[in-house]
Amino acid sequence: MSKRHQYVDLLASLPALPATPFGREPLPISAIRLEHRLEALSAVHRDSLRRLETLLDWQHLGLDVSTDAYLQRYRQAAPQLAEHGVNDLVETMLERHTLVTALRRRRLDEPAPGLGEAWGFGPRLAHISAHWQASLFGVGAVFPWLSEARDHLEHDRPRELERLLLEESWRLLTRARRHDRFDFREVVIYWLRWRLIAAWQRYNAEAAERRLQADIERGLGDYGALFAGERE
Amino acid sequence: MEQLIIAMGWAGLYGPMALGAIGSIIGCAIAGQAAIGALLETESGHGRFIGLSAMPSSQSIYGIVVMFTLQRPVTVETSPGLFSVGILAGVALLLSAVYQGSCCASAINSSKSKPEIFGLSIAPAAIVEGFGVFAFIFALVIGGSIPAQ
Repeated sequence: MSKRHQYVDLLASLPALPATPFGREPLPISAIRLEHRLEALSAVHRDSLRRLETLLDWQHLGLDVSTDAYLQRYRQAAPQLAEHGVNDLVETMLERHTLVTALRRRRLDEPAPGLGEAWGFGPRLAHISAHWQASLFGVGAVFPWLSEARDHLEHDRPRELERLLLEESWRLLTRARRHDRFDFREVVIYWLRWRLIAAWQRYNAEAAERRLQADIERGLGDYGALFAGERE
Repeated sequence: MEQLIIAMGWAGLYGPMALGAIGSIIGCAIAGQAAIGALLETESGHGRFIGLSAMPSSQSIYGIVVMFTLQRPVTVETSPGLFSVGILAGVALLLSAVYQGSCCASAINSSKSKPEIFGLSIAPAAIVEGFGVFAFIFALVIGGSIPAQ
């Protein structure tokens, strides 16, 4: 079977994902079932997917991983990811992270990163540093979502910012799909899109829990202290 | 040289059948794998997925008919015509079967979650089949002009 049709059975066995990641429907396939289906991938492709996961998942990154270490990790994975035709997807996502990092750093009044400082990812690092004080780092035309992201960040709207970034990733992945192909790249695109839906649902669940807690406390008012006393 | 021409004549005679069958093997395998994958995700309509995956098998039948139509003594006079018509018809049938398999796989993949588009999703595969039929019919027509001896 040609590479083009390498995973035709795997992709046909995966349920269609919704048109938008922000719907209220449950996940079309659970994480366990998806994991089970992805076992059909060849050993090298499974390895590539694992590398992708370690690059994109905060759970694997941890907070103590330095940018240098992260970039090193990316450089090690890049040749294999390029060979399997998925490197461009990762690069675009990492460049987006870099731009949001730049917005955050500037908001904290940090100076422009110095030349040679490993602070982000992508071909426009020097350009962004050189245009640090420009409203959109001189790349607003290349990344139309950047102005909206800046507004959300400046007005402390993390949920809207999260939604915008997620929407942008979703749009990128939808554009990257090729309906006549059933190869590893298509599997990765499916997997990334599934992750976006799962991330939004998780985010929503956490936000809902916080809202419920706040509503309970507000509803209880002074009685909250009374009940707290009873517990003691 | 004469031996080579005769060999090419035989290749042209068996070509439509062999190439059509190769195309059907690949096409049915692609569509069949998509159908098997779709069985995991659907509760009903399994029969139509399997049926659709057999669509690229028709090219083998066209190849057999072309082969029998071209069948005649293979001589230095008949070989060039047999080779040209047989191989070209065979290549057309092969490609139409492979790409039809691809179209069927896409149709199965799309219609598994949206059954109402099943009929419409077959249309591209049917169009590809149409071009295979063109190659088949005109191979029969043009094959009649090849000398009988």
